This record gives sequence, C-alpha cells and structure tokens, in this order.
Amino acid sequence: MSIFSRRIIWAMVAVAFLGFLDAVFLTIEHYTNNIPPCFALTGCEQVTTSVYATVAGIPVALAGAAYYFLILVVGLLYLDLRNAKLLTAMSYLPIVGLLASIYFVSLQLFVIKALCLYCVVSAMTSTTLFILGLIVLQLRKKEVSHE
Amino acid sequence: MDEQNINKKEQYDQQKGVELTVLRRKKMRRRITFWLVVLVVLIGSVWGLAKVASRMPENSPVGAMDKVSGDDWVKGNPAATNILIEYGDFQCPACRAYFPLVEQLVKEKGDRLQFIYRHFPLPQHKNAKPAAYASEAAGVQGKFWEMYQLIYEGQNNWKDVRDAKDIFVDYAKTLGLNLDDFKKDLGSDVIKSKVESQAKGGTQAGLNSTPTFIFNGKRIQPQNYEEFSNLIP
Repeated sequence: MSIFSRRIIWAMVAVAFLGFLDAVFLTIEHYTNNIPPCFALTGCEQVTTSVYATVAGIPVALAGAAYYFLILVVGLLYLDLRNAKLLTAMSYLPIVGLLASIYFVSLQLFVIKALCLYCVVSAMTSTTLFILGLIVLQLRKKEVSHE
Repeated sequence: MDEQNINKKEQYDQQKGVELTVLRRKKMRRRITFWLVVLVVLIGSVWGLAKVASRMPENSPVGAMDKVSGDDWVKGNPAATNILIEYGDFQCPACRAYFPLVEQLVKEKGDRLQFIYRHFPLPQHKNAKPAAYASEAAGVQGKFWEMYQLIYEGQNNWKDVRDAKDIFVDYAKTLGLNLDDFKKDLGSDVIKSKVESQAKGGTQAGLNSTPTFIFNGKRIQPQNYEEFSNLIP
C-alpha cells in the first residue's frame, strides 16, 4: 500500500475521530440533562427530543459514537498491522454510516422538519468517510491491476 | 568450509540476531507508544467533552434581569428576600416538566420565597405567544396563576393545534372569566407589548433557552426537586 493511501487512512481516522466526538457530545447531552431545555432558533431541541432520537431505548447518538469508534479503531489497527482485510473493512464500513445519515437527514428534513447542527455535522463526517473509503477502494484496484 | 569460516558465520548470525531483536524491540516500543497516545487522546477528549457538555451556565450573574417590576406576576411571599425568576415558554416541554417542581417549591417554601414568572416564547413554538397572551388576559381578571396552571397542565392538548385560541377560551370558561373581556384582551396591544418586552429583556441578557431560572440574581439550572429545595434551607 502506497504512502498516499496510508495518508487517506490517517484522514479517515481523523474524520472518524471528529464524528466520534460529535456523537459522544450528543450522547452526553442526552444522558446528563434530565430535562433538556428548549433552545431558541435551533432545531436541535425538536430533533434530539423527538421520538426518532432513540431506537428501542438506545439513543441513536450512542449508536453513532459506537460506529465512529469502530471505524477509528479499525483504521488505527490497519496503520499498526497493515492487514489487507482491515483495509477492505475501511472501504465498506462507511456505507453503513452513509445509509444511516441519508435516513436521519431525510427524517429531519421531511418528518421532524427541523435540522440539528450536530446531526448535520455527523452526516458530513459520514459522507466524507464514504468518499475516502471509495478512494481507498479505487487505489487498491489500480494497484492490483498494475501487478 | 573450514572451521574459521563457520565461526565467522556463526558470529555474523549472532550479531544479526541481536540487531533483529533490537529492531523488534524498537518496533514494539513504537507500537506501544502509538496505542498509548491513541488511548490518552481518546480518554482525554471524552473527558473534556463531558466537562464541556455539563458546563451549565450556572451562577453567572444576569445583570438587570433580576430587578422585580410592578408588572411581574408574583407567587409566594412578595416580601420575601429570596427571589426566583423563571423565563418560560408555555409550549416548551422542559418548562412543562419544571412546572410541578416550581409548584411544589412555592407550596413548601412560599413563605420565604417569591416566585416570578416571565414570558420568553421561543420562535419555533407557534402557540407559545398565544398561550402567553391568554395567561396575561386572565391576569387582567386576576386569574393569571390559575390560567398559568391550566395552560401548563394542558400543554399536550394545545401545543400542536393549528389555532390554540379556542382551547384557551375554554380554559377561561372553566375559570369563570368574563369571556368577552378575555377575548378582547387576547388581542390587546398592551398585553402583546408586555410579553414582547419581557422576551426582549431576556434576549438582551443573553438568554437562549427555556426555562431559565434566576435565583437571587444568579442563573441556576437545577435538575430535580432536591436541587431546587436546597436553594432555600
């Protein structure tokens, strides 16, 4: 694997870290505010207190934090072990995040009709991860055809 | 191969082996450092976030917001030196959740406390302003706190209704108010500008969420009844 694609994995780790922090923040907010106050001019109140904010009692923010954590750890493991299977995982895992983000953004736009900045940030990080994952996939294909 | 050569080869292999172990150890040390750094960064940032997330704007002074005015609705003992001010939005679920806590506080410590309720209707809550007007219109007939109670208790019944006015008129009927006067006051400019000026005062003081509680000039954010109750020993 070239230095270039290793840099991409580093970038993915950084983006996943950002997404992780974002999701952890939302999760902490979810659990610390017994009574989440209403904030002016942001859609976060509507979004994070809506029925869609939890699935079977688990806040989706927590699921998001777990997802970003997984990508983060897989990326770091690859940087440590240089195992090709981990690289495959880095290309395909972000598809899960992209699909989840599409679902959550459509929920916000069409059902809840409010946007929460932290959720938009998460949608952006997961989209970035997906694109970087595609680039990794392309680079590997090129390398294989060169061999 | 003679003996000397074999000896040389052994020596070479040995040295190579030592070098390899040193290299392996170095590599191992680098890996351990790598994962240690990862661990420290992760734990540190989550800990930092937890601190930021729980940074309640507690005990920050709030300037002129704590001045009691003649326009204010007071519950409890108007002569008490402990003053609790709430900036509330009738449509906000959190304000609804705090409503019984405040009621209990006034009931238990009302002799040593004056509770003041001010309007801070948030723009995303379409029925918050009509609710505020309704409470003030009932106030004209001396029943502000009674209407305040009905509005909060019935929040789920009117918050998503297109025109909540009819429901508030029903509440006025329940309270035995003069309905013609009540309806007239609902649209009165005096009431509108009172609600407007209270909200403006809050915005100027940097308020951006409801409910905001101010106890003796300091912003507080109690999370349960006990924390409320501890304010007044």
